[in-house]
Amino acid sequence: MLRRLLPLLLLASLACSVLSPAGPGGTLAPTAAPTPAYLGQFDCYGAEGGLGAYAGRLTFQPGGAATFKDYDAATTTGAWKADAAAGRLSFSGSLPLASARYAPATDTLDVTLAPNAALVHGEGGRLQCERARPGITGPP
Amino acid sequence: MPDKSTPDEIRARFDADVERFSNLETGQTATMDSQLVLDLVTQAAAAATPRARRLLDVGCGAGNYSLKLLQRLPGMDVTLVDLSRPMLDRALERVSAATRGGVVAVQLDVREFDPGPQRVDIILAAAVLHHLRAEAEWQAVFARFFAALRPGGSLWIADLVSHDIPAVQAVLWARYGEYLTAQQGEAYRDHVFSYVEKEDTPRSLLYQLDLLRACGFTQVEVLHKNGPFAAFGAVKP
Repeated sequence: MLRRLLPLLLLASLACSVLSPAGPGGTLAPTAAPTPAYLGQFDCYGAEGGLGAYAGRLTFQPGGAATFKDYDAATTTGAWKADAAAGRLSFSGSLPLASARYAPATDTLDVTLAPNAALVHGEGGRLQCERARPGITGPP
Repeated sequence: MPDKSTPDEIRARFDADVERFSNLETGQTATMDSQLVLDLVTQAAAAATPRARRLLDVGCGAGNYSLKLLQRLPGMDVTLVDLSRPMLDRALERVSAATRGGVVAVQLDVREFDPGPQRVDIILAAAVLHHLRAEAEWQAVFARFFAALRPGGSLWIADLVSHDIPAVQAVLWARYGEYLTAQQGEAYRDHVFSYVEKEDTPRSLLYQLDLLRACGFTQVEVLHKNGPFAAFGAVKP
């Protein structure tokens, strides 16, 4: 079990010094572990008219950059950081996203959209994101 | 290039081929001189950037290059990047056990990967860049590598390369075929040739050396060249 947890703990402890754009002022307790176990891409699904629908692909870069490519393939850029106090990830820049909670067990994200974000299939202001598997998840 | 594999098709093949890429002693047998190149690249990287603290391994596979470099420069933080999740799983397990530094795994296409400016001291890119297609992709990836390195940092590439003179390409490709046949027979040769034809779009060694200089690297060096394989690198001023 420890062997399986170790990468997560390492990632969490690294988040300040390696991953977070927050700089030396940022802190992240190892047990908070809100950082995705694997950085990379997530495909996000929202809703329209009560029906679930693909909303876009979220990419986390290790340097702290993030991009969101929406349903219409328009890309916005910004930054992500692990917010230990709140136990979540937060976003800044022109991304239509405000924050997210990461579930390591399922490798999924529960995303809250930024206030007033105009996102296709962003009904209700929430997105559910899963690890991108090109050809399986993603745009229709 | 309509007949070439998509990233998803490439990912699927590597997802199913983790064991073949996990042997530090034999290296990757479909690549000529793989063990020698593994030694040369990691020795050169350690010599050129001896105080490196952060390593970026792009197209890390099962982590062989990182593991070998950590034997020479222990304790580094390592960022592993690969398209294949099973490869990353194996690399993360092996590399985490080999360093007291932090290890981060990034499942991403190299074309979409952006480590950010001046983040790392050494970049290793082994057997990955031959998947790049258009000119713009080559330029963008090399430029990102340059930007990601700190001053004095170094980039090392080991890869399949093409040749600009068709007759030379034919000669060296035939020699590669003889190598593969000697390894595991004609069926193995044909299997390797078929996935190379389907997946790969390598550029010549000289093209890549020129591109390194165009990106700003002033010190560029060739470590090894045999048949259609080359190992080379550069140091950021």
